[in-house]
Amino acid sequence: MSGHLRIMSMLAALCALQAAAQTVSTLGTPGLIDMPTAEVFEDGEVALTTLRFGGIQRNTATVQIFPRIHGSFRYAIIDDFDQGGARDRFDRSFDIHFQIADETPRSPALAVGLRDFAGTGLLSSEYIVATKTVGRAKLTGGLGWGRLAERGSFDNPLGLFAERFETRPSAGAGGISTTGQLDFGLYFRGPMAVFGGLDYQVTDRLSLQVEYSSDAYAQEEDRDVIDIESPINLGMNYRFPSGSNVRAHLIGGTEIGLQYTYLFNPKRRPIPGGREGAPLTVPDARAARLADLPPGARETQAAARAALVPLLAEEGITLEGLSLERREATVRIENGRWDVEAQAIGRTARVLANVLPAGIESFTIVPQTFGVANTAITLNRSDLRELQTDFDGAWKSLARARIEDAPEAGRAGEVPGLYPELRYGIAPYSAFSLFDPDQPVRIAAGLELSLGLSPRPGLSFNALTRYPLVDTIEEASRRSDSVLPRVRSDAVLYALESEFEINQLYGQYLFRPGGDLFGRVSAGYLETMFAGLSGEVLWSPNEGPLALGVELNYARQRDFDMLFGLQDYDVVTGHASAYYDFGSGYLGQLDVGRYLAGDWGATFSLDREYNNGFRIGAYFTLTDVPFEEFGEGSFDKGIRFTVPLSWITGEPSRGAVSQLIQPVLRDGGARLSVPNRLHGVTRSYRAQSLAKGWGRVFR
Amino acid sequence: MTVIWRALLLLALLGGCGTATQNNPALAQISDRITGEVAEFDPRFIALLRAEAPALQVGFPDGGTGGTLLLERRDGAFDYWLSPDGVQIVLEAGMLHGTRGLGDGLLASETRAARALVRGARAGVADRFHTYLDGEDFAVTRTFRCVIAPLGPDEVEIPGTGPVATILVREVCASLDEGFENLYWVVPSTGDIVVSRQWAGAETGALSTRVVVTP
Repeated sequence: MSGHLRIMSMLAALCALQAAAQTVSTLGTPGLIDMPTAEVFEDGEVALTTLRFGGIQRNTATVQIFPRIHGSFRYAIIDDFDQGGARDRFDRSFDIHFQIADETPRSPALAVGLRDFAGTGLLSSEYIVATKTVGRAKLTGGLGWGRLAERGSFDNPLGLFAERFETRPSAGAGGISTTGQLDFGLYFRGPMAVFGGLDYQVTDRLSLQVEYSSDAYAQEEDRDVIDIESPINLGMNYRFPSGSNVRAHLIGGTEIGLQYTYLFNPKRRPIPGGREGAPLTVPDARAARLADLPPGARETQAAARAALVPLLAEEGITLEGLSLERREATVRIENGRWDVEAQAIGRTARVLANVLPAGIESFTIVPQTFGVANTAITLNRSDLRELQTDFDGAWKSLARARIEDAPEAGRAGEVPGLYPELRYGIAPYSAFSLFDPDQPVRIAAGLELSLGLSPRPGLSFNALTRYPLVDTIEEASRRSDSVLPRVRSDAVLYALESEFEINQLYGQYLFRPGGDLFGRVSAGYLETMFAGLSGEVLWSPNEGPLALGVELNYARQRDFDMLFGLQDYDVVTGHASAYYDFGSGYLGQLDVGRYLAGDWGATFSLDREYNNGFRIGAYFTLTDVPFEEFGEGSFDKGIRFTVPLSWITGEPSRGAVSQLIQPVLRDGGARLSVPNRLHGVTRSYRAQSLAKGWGRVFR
Repeated sequence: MTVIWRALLLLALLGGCGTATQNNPALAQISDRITGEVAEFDPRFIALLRAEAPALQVGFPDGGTGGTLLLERRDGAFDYWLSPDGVQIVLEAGMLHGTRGLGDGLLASETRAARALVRGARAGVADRFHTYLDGEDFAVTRTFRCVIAPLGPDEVEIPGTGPVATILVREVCASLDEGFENLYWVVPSTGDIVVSRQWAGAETGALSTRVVVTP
């Protein structure tokens, strides 16, 4: 039965994951075939598209960042495009699309967009587009600039107001060194053209598209990558119940293409309720296991500890401290299982309610990380019992809970034998190197051994070593041409000259200098390329959207063999950071300071964190390194995502899959990669984060 | 799968027929051997199995599966039924109150008005509230308006006692975007719901319950 119940619920859940799919253009955004429409995806939705036609392959990820704005990152490979057909072109591009007005019964949807606004400019174009639904058909018409005005173009009427609108500067004019810069000077400039088309919904699943394209594929045709004989493109789209789209198209009357889009919304967990087993129920206090023992007595304390440790362990929670007063109990715990921290609190409270003497009415639960207390959550036993069957129990319970900062929890009632604590683990790992023109994806994979020894709360000695079994990163033939200190661009040398890797080997001390304050000191081999000393202080009020931190490091470059040796290059680096929660899951971060190459500047980050922990974000760093000196890409930027394992499997887990994607990895704006930066380690147990997950407190 | 069959076999031997294992050394041996092997069973379930807790047959008409759950706690009107893999179904006086570990997270419900009509086998209109976990871990309450009407007498088979005379009561509920139909077989003298088919949520669909009486 076990398999049945779970498999069935999982299948049902996967079927429910389907998204409101629309046709997706060859550029991976809502559109007809090559032309855009004024539509958007559902808020938060992600569309991953891959297609091939002629000698062109495009892979695009589009995220509906805000209800009206979606952004795309694309990696295209165009066969035999460069050096007279001798080399393929690898083209990275970013798009942004803003829907000005949604469709109404009387007026069309209206949108404006920039394609390839910061790349090599091959797809560089802008558009204004309108889309209106009429019965089963959707009509689209728009104006395009740049590449979207290659066919049937006419003079830009804006030229009447300012002459500069009449001509469009060449996007790639400055050569490779200017790529990555925003081309503010060319948007909506030069000749413009009209495009349009029709999408017809034949059945719920099947739709047909026809468009008049203003994109003539001029450069690709010149180089015989593609053959265009007609301005009319045709498409046929089939949407699967899962939300995926498969489509075939005929471009320019000659080129047949095939495209696949996987659409999903991170807002939806595959299994919203989770697959984990049921929690204990909260019994009448008189039915608790130790109901009749006097709360204050020493023997009670020992008996409670003996009963709680295994029951909490069953829930993946380590009991670190227990003190019983006449009417209240305080437990310090470490949560090793629950990605939603409020659920860990709820599970702990229910174990307490099943064990502790009847006289104890109030439970204070102190979650700890590395043995350092974060907050203290106080719940009443009677509330738990009353609200566990209340249909509005989660919110009532949050309203009655007290969540306070706990800077001075200390080592009260420490469970004997907890220290020294040894942790270890062996796991497979994988690492990627992306966008090398010789081989777009390189991978290293092997075994990872982690070791941790903690002699007392807050203090730990940690090691992370890796042994790659497969490594194609070291096969890269390109070497750094950087004129800056090579703090990151020698990554290939590290892969090449290392065998057994000591990735990290360091001591760390976390502590609470005061209320709302966290401190960290780390020393040793902090990351793969640098060793050094790092100190950080974070001010993180328990309530409120803002947290501030400062970090100062001395770092010295490690040898390429990733063992104990050091190179000559050293640097003092550090940042002042501001973290701001804009609400609705938008998190901003600003770091100002000195980077590894000695350059001064700032990093701007914005992440969208779905309430279930799925996270998608982007950042860019501007420093005093001039764009020409920085090299390809002009400045450091990247996109990143984190997928909680629980989102994938439906089982609770604190694990996650994270990936940072940088179009180019160079030396400017590079930050020391210190393990356990405080904001990341402490944020999830602050009151605001706990409250966000409180829906699961009775799960 | 073998685990499932073992569990069903075990339940058939222990719970369903109401045979006491202590009196039968052969059965006790089988039980020990099996429980010794099935470490993936929820230890709480194994404890209930050993204690011969009351059983409830639960089925999923939409998926064609089902099994037997054991009573973990009876707390006032609430019965907490546990499956071998730790899935829990909470019934309030026989009406579905919550689920744990199924596709939907039905955290809790408020069914007081509907319950009074159903257990009294009376016709009427009642509101009910269901609170689910959504994909972003928010507890979301949905409101349904329900029309309840007795359909007439019906005899049902209860394992352990045989045929029981009941009244079949139908409850038809709708919200703006969802709707479902529940059926209850109610013993007129006590108001007990001995057999039912109740909707748990959009993803789980309906589940059926049938009490098992251990003599």
